[in-house]
Amino acid sequence: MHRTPTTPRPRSPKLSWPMALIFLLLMLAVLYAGNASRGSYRAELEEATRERLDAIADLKVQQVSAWLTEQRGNVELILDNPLIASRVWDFIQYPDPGKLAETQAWLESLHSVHQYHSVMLLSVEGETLLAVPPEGPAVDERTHRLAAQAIVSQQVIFSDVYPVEEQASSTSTGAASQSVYMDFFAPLLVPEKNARTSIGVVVVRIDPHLSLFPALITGPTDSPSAEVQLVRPDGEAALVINPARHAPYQPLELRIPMDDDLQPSTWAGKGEETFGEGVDYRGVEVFAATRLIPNSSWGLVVKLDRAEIYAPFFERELLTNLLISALFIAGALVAVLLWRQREAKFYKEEYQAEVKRQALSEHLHYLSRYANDIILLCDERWNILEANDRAVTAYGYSQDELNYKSLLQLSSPDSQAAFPRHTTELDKKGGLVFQSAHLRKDGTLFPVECSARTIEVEGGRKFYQCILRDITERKQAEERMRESERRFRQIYELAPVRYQLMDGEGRLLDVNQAWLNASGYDKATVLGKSFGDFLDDASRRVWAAHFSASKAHTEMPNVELGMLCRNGMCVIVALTGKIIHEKDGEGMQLHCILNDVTDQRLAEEQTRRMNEELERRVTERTAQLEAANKELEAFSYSVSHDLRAPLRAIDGFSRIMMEEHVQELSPQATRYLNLVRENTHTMSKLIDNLLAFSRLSRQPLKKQRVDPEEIINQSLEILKASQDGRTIEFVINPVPPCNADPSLLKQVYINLLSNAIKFSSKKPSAVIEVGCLQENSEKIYYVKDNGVGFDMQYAPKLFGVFQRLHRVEDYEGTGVGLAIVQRIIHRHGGRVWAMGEINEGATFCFTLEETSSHG
Amino acid sequence: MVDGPVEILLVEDNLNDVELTLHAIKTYCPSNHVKVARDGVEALDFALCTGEYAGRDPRQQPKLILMDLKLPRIDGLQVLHRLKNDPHTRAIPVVILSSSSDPNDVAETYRLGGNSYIVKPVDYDAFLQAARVLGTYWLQVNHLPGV
Repeated sequence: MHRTPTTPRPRSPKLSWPMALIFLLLMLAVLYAGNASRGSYRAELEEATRERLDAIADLKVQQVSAWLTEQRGNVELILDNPLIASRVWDFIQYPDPGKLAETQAWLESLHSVHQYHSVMLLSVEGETLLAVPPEGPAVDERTHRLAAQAIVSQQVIFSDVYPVEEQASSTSTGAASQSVYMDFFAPLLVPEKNARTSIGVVVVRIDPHLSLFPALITGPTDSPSAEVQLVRPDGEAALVINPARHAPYQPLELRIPMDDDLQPSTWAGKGEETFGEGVDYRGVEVFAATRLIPNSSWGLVVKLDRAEIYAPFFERELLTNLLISALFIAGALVAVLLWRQREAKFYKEEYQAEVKRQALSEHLHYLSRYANDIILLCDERWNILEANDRAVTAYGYSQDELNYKSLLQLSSPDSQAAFPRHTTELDKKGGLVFQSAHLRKDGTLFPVECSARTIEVEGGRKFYQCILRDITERKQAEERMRESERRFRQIYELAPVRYQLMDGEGRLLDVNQAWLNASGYDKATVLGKSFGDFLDDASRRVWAAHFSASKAHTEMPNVELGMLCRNGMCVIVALTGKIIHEKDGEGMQLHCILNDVTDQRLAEEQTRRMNEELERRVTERTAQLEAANKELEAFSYSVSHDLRAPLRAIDGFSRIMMEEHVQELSPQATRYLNLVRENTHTMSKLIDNLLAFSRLSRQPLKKQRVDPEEIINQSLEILKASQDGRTIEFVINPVPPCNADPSLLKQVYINLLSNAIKFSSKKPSAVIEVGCLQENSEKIYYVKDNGVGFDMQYAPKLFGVFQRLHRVEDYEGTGVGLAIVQRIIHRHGGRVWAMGEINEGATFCFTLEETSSHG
Repeated sequence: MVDGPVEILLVEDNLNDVELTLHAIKTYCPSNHVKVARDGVEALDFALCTGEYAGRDPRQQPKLILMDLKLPRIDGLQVLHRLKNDPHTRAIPVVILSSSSDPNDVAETYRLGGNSYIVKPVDYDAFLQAARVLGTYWLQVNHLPGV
């Protein structure tokens, strides 16, 4: 997989037409504004210029006109002055020196006053009579002509300005220039008859340089370019009379052809009084105003160079232009900047996109290259076009070898048969997953799962992309699972325990063989039925309640139910189960084990009944025993009571008899009566002892912690009386506390001590020792005396009831005391024994049950 | 025979014991001031002035009642119970004279309100001494109500 698709991309960012349009509009607006401003300024300027020029022109016109008028006027004075004419006539007729001088003087005065270049007096024949200056001006044909004209017309004739070729002569204008003059011819007229006749002509020659031209130059303002031209039409051209300012044209040198409409001189030449723009003789654009000098053929042109006019304008225009340019440039710069930025951003994005694309492509490349699955790209005939690295390792072919193969070739023969079918389906659906078996280069087969997709590209070409996964392991795992499944199923089915699987409604989903065997049903009958159907009535209710109570939990606690088998028998089963809830909380499965507990229950029932029976019997026996005890108690009570009554009587009456009939009684009789009384006492004691003895066994044992020392002391206190003033030495050794019934223990000590006291009565110094020995974790309590003792031979008889080892007359007693002691000790769970030696003394020992003692 | 005020009511069914007792108390109470009832019923009838003693003056009550527990018909404890529950006889001290030394009897006696419990010894000498002490205490030393 090495190809990455390339699509043509625009190289530059798209022009944002709206933005461009806006920019353009903005620029246009700026331009328009500029233009408008310029236009308005220009208009203003034009207007001002026009006014200015008009003013100047008018002024100049006035000036020139005035000058002309003045000059003419001056000359006309001559004409109009008959005196002059007469004098001159006089002179002419009679030219004597005096008149000559006078005329000369007059001519000189004329000359100097009016600053004429020269003044001449010409005769009617045209002869120069006088001239000032005398070397005079040239008199040429023109002069003669015009003089003649003047003579004839008898009017002042103006020659207009005409050039004279002279040698370079300094004029008042300074530099060498072509001389130009203008002559006035004033005829001298003398009256003759009713008219006048010319007698001569005075010619004044004016150098316009002197006053005319300067007047033209001096202007109301100092303008560098302003020029005033006096112009007269001269044939096809306009002739500029005065010297040009900006070019070295001498007066009457500059001729401008009339058809050159651009030149304002031509307008004046044509006789137009106007204002306008034109181009002058320099080719420079000018503003010009033209006028006509009245009473002349002259025209006046006042012109200003456009440049001058527009200089401020140009300045401003320059500024405006600069501003506009600046704005333009700025705008352009901004636009460019924005453009650049956009471009940059675009390129950046492009770049990033490209990078991403690259990365993805790389990624994809890597993925496919290093993928764990085989990725193949095939054409529509399943020929392999591309294979990833995994394919190489999986099949064992090299890349090149793979590229020559088709997928069909890689498939096992069996799988190949399925190909057409797969292809059809794949084409239909666009994607297909199927299993197949493929061949490696070495001929081994391995199972694959193929996920194929169709890819259609422009041009209608179809490709198949396949991702093949080696499912060998999966298959093995499946096989293992199947095997495991089979084994478990076996276990399940053949288990000796009954399994059942139920759903959330208590219906049986599955049961194992043991279940079926035990119940006698077959699987078809059982599955789908509710479990309760197989229970007896009582159990059904129990089951229903139990089931709904446990449903929400994960464990179903043990419950015993009665199941009905097919043959009608009822068995008791103990059901325990585990509940597994589906993850979505919707379903649940209940896995149960049923244990047949019928026998157990029966056994239990029996045991229970037996126990009950036993209990009953025990209670009965106890009751009986209690009754018996009560009877015995009553019996003993009444016995003792009833037996004592006659004894009292015997004793009582005997006593009374002895008391009241003492005189009648012999000593022997008294002795007999005393014997009678003694015997009654004995009997009474017997009865007491018997009663006590019998009561002993019935009395409940109230074991408690007791201090034997205290009891011993109490007992000794009670027995004090029986000591009869004897001196008995009591040795009381420390006796540790023990667990015993206090009253009974007291009885024990009373009896033992009483015996000890009794049987040591014959000894002069009796020593009675009481104490406790510790022997092999046993506590042995003892009462030791040094009395008469006893023959060990008869030791067994000691504790028998009514058994005595001594004669009553030696030692009184009924023989019950020790029996009572034994009874008590045995009830405490202890042992009692005695050791004795005749005449040396006896030691009586007992133990109390240690095991149940609590310290 | 009783004539005169009854000082002591002796409740005893055994004739021997009656004689012996009378003999014992005669030093401080002559027999003619002792009323002997042979069983519980008679004792109660007498004390409560009911039955065959219905006509007896209830204000004439004995100063002391000596009673055996073992009695036919109604036994001593029952009589004691009745006596101590009846306002007319409650105040009369009751001394039980019994041959039984059964602690239960003793306990019950006191529980029922009996004033004293004496065990009748077989030895008549001891009995004589007991009777003397009894009489001295109850009839002389002890203050009886209404006396």
